[in-house]
Amino acid sequence: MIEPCSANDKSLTLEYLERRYGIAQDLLADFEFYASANGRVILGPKLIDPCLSPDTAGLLIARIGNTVKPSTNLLQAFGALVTRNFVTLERENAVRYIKGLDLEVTATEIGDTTEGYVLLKYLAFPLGCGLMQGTHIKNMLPKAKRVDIKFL
Amino acid sequence: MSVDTRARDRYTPPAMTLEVPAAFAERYAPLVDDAPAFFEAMLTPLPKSFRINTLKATVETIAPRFAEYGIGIKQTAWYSNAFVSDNPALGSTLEHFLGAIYVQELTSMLPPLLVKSELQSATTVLDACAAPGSKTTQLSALMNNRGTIVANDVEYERIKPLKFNLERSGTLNAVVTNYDLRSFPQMLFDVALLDAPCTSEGIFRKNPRQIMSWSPKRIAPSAYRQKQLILRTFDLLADGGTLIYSTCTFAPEENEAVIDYLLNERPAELEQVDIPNFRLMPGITKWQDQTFDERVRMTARVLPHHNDTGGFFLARIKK
Repeated sequence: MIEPCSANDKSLTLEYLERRYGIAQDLLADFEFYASANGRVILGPKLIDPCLSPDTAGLLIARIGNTVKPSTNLLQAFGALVTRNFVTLERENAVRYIKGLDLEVTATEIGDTTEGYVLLKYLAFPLGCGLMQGTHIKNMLPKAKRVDIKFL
Repeated sequence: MSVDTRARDRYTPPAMTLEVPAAFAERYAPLVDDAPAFFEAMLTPLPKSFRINTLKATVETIAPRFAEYGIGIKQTAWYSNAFVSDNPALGSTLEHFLGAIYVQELTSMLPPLLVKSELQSATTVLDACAAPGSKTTQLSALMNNRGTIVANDVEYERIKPLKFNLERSGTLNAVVTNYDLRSFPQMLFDVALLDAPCTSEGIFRKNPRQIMSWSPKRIAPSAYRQKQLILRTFDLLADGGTLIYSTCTFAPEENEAVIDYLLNERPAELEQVDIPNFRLMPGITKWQDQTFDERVRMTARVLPHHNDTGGFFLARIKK
């Protein structure tokens, strides 16, 4: 079940996305923010008829706990708009990421990306979310999305 | 009749001979233009097909990638975003992982195409039997993520794959609901798709062995349910709204008879079904001892041997 997102959680999410990834707040203006269980923030259509009891809507984009945790859905859907805090992976690491494995990356790959949740890319393709600590990237790809990719 | 499928199998050739049940052949031979070609197609596996998800990619970005992979793909003449491929590895590509392509049967792409122009201005769209989400994600792409699509399915266990596919495709404008359509809350939609649960005779090509277990006994209960569903979906349509009714079966009881029932029960109008560069047969107006409203000719039958697809039925209805 979903309900309208609180103004506080909406602005927390928008500010985080702009500060951390450079996603301008007005780029999400065509959509509405909703809340679901356990701090989940959903980006969905502007209008949902009040007579409906939706199971869900739109995309789960983040989870708010002690901090904001972006979802792979968000980073895949809006990856082209991300201007900072992304890591471009070599082919071998891209295969490992999609398989669900953690990664070790080089200082060159990291560049000026800061520790925390990062967008992982292969070429220009936004693969999903990882948690970077030093040169280690913890895989945050949901289990259901993990596959043994053959062609990339 | 029997057909040796070994020569035409696209995948791993099964060393067996399949046969169309005699009752199936007897029932459907009078309905088609070329019965031997129809039955041969029914026993031949479907080509793999996919749609480019224009929320994430374009033909120009996808085609070179598949060329690099050495995966042969062929664009269809009737929908620029639809492709067929002999390669069964489509699901192992980066583009599939990213949701840039959606593995989808060609006939399943037809209902959203029939409302392409309406979707440009539609604010509310109902996909009445939405799981697993092929048509919902296509609707969303055609709407460029604008407006609101209510993606409903009565079966709770089918909601999970529906949600997964919506997420993978980057669909932002869908609302997922789990109603029995007959008790769906009263609201009005500009466009509605009713891809009704049916006896699925048209998709036997997915696994041609299924035809061996075909039985006409399933048709009557399915048709009974479809009549209830089409009335309810029509009642959820705003004045001037458009409803696309479709099934993946050949049985006239589940197709023309359902449309005839709607025309008798509600002030519905039919519009001609037409898809440029795609061969269709008009709906029939006589079946066994039944005669249908003449307007039912405006509906369309998709026969497997005409476009190398599954079998399908389409009706375009206005309120």
